[in-house]
Amino acid sequence: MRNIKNWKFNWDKYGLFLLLIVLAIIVLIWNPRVFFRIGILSATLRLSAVVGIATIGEGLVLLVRGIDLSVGAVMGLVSISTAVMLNSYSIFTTVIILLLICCLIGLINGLFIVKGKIPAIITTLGMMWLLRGIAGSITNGRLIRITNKTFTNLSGYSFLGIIPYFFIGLLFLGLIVLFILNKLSIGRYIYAIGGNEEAAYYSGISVTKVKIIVFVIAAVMYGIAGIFLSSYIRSGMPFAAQGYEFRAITSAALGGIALSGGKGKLWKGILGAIILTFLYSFVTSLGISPYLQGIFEGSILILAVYLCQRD
Amino acid sequence: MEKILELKNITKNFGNTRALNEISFSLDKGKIYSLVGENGAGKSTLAKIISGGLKSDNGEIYYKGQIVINHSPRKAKELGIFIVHQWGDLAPNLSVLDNIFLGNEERGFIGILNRNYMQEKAHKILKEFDLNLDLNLPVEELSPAYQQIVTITKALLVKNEFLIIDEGGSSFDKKELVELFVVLRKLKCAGVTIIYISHLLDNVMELSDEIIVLRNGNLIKIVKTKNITLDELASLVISYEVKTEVKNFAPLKKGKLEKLKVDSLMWKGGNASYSFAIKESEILGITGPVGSGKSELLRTIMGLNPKEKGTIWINREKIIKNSPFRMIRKKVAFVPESRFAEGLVMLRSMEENITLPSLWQWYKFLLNKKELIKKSNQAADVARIMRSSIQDRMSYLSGGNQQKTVIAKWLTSDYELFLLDEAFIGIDIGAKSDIGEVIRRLSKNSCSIILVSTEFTDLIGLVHRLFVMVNHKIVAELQGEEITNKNIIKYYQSTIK
Repeated sequence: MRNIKNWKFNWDKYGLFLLLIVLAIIVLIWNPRVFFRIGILSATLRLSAVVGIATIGEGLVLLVRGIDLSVGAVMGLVSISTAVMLNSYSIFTTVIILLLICCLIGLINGLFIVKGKIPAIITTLGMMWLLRGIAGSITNGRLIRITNKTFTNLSGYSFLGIIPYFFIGLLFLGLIVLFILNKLSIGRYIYAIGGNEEAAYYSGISVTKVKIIVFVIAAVMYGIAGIFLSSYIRSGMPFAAQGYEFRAITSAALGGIALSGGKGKLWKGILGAIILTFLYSFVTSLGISPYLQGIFEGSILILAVYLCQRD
Repeated sequence: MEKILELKNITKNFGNTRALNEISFSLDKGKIYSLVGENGAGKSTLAKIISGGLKSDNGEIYYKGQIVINHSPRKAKELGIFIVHQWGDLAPNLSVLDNIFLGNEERGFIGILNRNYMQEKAHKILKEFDLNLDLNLPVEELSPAYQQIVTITKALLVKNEFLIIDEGGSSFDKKELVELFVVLRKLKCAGVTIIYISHLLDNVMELSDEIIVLRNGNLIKIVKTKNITLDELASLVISYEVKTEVKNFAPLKKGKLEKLKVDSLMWKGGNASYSFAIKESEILGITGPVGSGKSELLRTIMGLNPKEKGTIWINREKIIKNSPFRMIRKKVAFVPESRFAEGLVMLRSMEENITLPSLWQWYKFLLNKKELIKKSNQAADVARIMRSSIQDRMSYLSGGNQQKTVIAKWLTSDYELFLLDEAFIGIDIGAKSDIGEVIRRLSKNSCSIILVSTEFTDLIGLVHRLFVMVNHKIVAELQGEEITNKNIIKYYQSTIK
């Protein structure tokens, strides 16, 4: 009897699954036919791959007690650059060059934050504006259609016709990062730095190096997300992926990754991204005005942090 | 004489430890009393009970002849009892005036601060007690003594007649101390009763009218200062139990190699340089009052405080640049003063914490979790950490076990030089003796240990050599048999001369 009395719902552990179930029930009651058409299902999975990969990056940054607001801006820059570069370079060269540029962006972020001691929120806010500026000036703000069919078709391929390869890409990247976090020293260093940076430094960990590596990996993740997105929307847009930093942070919060650092599991953050995308696509399928969607998105973030981040 | 405070049979237990045992005494109005005793004698417990911060298990408090019931900090405020803490609760960036009125601001129309009124009132108080303070200066620009005077002025704002000053001036130099004492005497003349808590006996002799001596929670005596000498007071304060511990002591064998050598080392912003060496198997203690620079010295060796000049050798190898990263790779272990802020990642497991500093030397790529659990369990056994599982989160453990974990971090591998900053802080006697055992065992295995501790009683019987550090200077170096409570206290005395 005592057990039942003391039983409290553990949001930290089961909140996500509860949300998933509630969502499924609502959808089933509301309009099962529309939502479960294969087309919409794969489209949502495809989009959740983009959000999920961005969340991997943001999640890592949150784990070292940072925050990164440059997510959408990196994706936007990558998007327009992809479109421009594909006119004269192969897909392979384009991707490699763009990911190297992302490394550089992450490096600059990391250096200013760690060496320059500028708060992450300020550095990446500045970076966000700066990158949007660069992206916009490449084509004077115009959209460029991507004519490379091989590239645009990438987003269309699906495993067994149901699971898009993009989604498998997300799972693959997720596994790599989970491997790093759980099986290598640097994974433990990341959690230690997020939990107590001083203690990590006193234990002989090169906090500077680890944090910079995290910001670089994160920027590369946003870059990959940006490339996926451009293939999906078949064009380069300097202002693509607006608000993706918001989605990435919300997903991580939904997955219980502590905004105060050092706590949380990355796979749950990825699951959070998938659920969030399904929520979005459900709300869109209801035909709700995009302005009202903002109310919904904002509430989710605050609610997610409130429910999933209590200890 | 009018009685202001009377205690009757005040008793306080913490678990099985009796912190205060049937304390009874009465204090006269307008006198300066000192409360002295060793660490753990019950000074601060008694202070907290008088100021309402702690409830006694038994006994009564009478203030101005009236019994005090339901004592609390708020009640103390109403009665006019005020406690000034060692590190005053000041906002360093605000001005003296703002600090004095912090929490008691005078508000006028729609909550706008009435600065003129506050200024006037502050001037009146300063004049009344003949104090000299620049009200517009930010507090951080004042000397520690004046900062304490600001806290005292804050107390005078609301007609407090009873002040308790906790460890006032233990880190001050002579000049600052004189300034503080002048103020306290002025307050006395104005009829304020003061209890001054300190472990610096010559300060106490200089300042107080009467001295209250506590030992192991018992009231030993209340003596008039003019009837006692410093030596007599010292022997009243010291408990004799400590001496028996000296027997455990194993003297250092001759012919050991030098482990660490420091030559004219000075930290940035420091005003003294240090040269000394420590041999294999040697346990070196450094003690001194809070703020004496002993912690800074240790941190400078580890590379945590920037170095101004000087050279460090480890195993006769010159260290060019020192940082925790480099020093750990030279097999130097460091246990920081604060286990919460610097020692442990509370959110993570004990295993992760213990293995954190040594992962680099075991694994180039893949971690082996099983091996890590085994290694950390071994270290936890050596440190005698009570645990249900090595995978438990650190925050679930008791303070003593957390402190042992900070030490266990360095027992998984072959570290050779151990720098321990206040390793005995905030832990019970059992954990203390366990840690002492670990240190002795390390010494047997040819490790060198530097132990920094404010509580020198913890070092007696454990260290081969002891530095007493006062005001950034090593004022005494004691060897073997010379390391006694009495001798150490003697050098603590030289503080202010």
